[in-house]
Amino acid sequence: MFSTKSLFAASALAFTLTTSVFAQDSVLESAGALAFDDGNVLFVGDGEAGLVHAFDLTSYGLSDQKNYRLGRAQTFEGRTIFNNLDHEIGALIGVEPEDVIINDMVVHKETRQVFLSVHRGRGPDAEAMIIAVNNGNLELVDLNSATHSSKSVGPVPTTETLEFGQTLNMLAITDIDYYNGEILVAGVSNEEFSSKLRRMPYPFTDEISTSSVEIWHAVHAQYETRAPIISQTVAMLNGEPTLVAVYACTPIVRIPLSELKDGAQVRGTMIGEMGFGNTPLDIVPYTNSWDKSENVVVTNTNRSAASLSLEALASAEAMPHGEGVKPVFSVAGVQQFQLPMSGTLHLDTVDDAFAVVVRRSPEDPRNIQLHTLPLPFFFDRADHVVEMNFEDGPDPFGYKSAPPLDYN
Amino acid sequence: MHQMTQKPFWVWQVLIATLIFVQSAFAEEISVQFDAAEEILVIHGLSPSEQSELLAKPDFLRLQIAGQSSARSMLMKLAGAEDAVHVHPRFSLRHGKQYVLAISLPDREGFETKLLVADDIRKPPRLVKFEPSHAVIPANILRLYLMFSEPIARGQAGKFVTLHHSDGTIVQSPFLNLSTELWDQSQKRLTLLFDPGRMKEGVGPNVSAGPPLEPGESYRLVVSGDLESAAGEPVGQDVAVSLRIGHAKNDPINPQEWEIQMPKAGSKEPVSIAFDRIIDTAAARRMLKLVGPDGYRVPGGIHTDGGGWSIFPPAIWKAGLYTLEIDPELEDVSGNNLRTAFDGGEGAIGKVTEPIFMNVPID
Repeated sequence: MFSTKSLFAASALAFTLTTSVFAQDSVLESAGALAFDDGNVLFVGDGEAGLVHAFDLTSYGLSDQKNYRLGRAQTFEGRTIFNNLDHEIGALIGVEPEDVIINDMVVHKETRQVFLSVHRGRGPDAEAMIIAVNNGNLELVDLNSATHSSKSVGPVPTTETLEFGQTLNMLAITDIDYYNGEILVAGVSNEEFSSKLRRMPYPFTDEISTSSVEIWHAVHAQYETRAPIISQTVAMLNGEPTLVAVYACTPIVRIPLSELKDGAQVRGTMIGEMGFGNTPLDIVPYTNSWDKSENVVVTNTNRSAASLSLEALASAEAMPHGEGVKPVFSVAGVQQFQLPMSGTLHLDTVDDAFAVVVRRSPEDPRNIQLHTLPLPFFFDRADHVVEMNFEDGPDPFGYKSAPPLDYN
Repeated sequence: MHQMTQKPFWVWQVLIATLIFVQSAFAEEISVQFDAAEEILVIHGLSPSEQSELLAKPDFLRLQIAGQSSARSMLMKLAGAEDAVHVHPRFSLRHGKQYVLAISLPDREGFETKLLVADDIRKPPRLVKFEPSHAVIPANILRLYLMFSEPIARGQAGKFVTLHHSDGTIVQSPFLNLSTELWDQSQKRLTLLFDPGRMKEGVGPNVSAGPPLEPGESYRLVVSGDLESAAGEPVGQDVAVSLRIGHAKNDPINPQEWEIQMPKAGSKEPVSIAFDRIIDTAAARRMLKLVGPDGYRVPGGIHTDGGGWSIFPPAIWKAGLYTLEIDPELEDVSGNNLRTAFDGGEGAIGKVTEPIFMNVPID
């Protein structure tokens, strides 16, 4: 227990300290979807503020991770960078693991550094932050050290709206993608059911274009005039930059970027169907270093992930539509290759040899891991019961003769 | 206990509990105080050499939330004062939680103390409102709003908000399973989006599970007593809202079908609109504007339950031609808007993109 003397000392102290040593207020009201441009600019979706932020992390000091071993792709060995990632981040920011919400993850390709958007707490006063992984350590990114700009993607509180006491429409930003000097922003509103796609140049200008996309939806056997895009990527299909998007009820659609003009009503071509009762999480491009093919991987809430080749996406016929077409309820359309991933919460690629995931451990779903997966199959041998893992099992590829991995 | 909810003005009035002295070989008795106003921990009782040792190597000090598995310390900075070391945690210590501060200088016995940060007064959250609150709602309703008295913690809605048939059986996954829950900024209003795939009549789930809502049937939307406020207080008891389901509404909104009631000039009666359907309440509040003869928006008080909309003037009405401005994105509860029905056919989008103006003469 404290003495009266020490309590007195505490109140005297209060007068001598007027400024905090952490003289910064976060510019983030929330931190959701993440993306990098081709350089060092990190985009952060901030649904609560109705903004997309851009932080140039050059002066933050991005740190090269080339000496941090991610596993051994040749022998299908991934590396667990962290077990109990929520506990570890919780320790760093002084909260219990259930008050750590990991909203998204992205890899800075040049340095291979992993960045996470994190909320401290689950209430409206939750603090939003970016956490970096640096050679197996966790670091809070000082965003004040980065050059910052932002762009509104939705209604923000103005004097007018506040005066009239209205609740505000909020856009939950589900995905941000950078392509060739522009970003594309997908999201779901809490008050509107909209298929609007936002497209804006970076560096930000006053320009923002929104287009509505109409798609033929095989599950409904009719035109889906409005449905939010959940995740998207831009790929070169037949020499043309094309948006490949997955929708809330999981059709895969391709739309040439050139058609997405401001105010345009666009007919997307539905080329695949991920199946009913399933919500997509992410669509991420990757190169298969074995056959040099370009692909995308789609992760889902209720199914394992699927891989689709760009060649197949480009050549896929539009799914049949019109009178007499029966609804489709299962996976259909462009050929998909199922990947043996489970419990994936967030995924990004590091390079042609590795992807990194935030996932529930296959052995213990309570264990949230930051883990690497060897490409091109997103397959870590240790996650699966395969004969090659048994001590006296066959070893046709000589995995067991490979020297044990020495992790730094 | 007095409590302010805005972050910058937190005042913690009663703080800290026990200090447990682990056997100490430090020069004097160490004491730790928590200065709540400044959010600093003040360590007294270190000798000058111990102080400088600690300031030179802050890793000798560990600040952690109690009972955690990680050895990692919370982010913080240390600063030397006259006869004390100040610990500035990077993030505020959370109310109602216990923290551990440990110092282990080389060749010295360790020191460890526990700090309990005083808790807020917690109120159990209540479900205060449900929209649309109409006796009968259309079978193809797209969106429901639940309003609570307290901010609710994110990440529980999928588990603790469920839809039940009148016989008590649960309706399987009626809502869109997004990784992000749709809350307003205060986290008091939750938007539940029905899975649009399940809302379309005669397809998809009708074959396997049936649509989530059948016309003529009754349902119960149940908020579990285990749903917790942001402060960690549960609702307590299950709360159920009854839903009676009518026919699906599947045609575009046509404002010509609305009945507008104009008050007399000189009165303070509201301008009232009776809709021909249930309009989304959030959209009605935001997307209908009354503009005065002077071209400025009437800054009146707006009331809507989705079935109607009225605006009460701040002063008596002046005679003149007012205009009701309708945003083209206005939606009814089934997702129909001015352009198209939600289940619109080919080419149905994009018919109207400009606001619609209706004359409201007051004389």
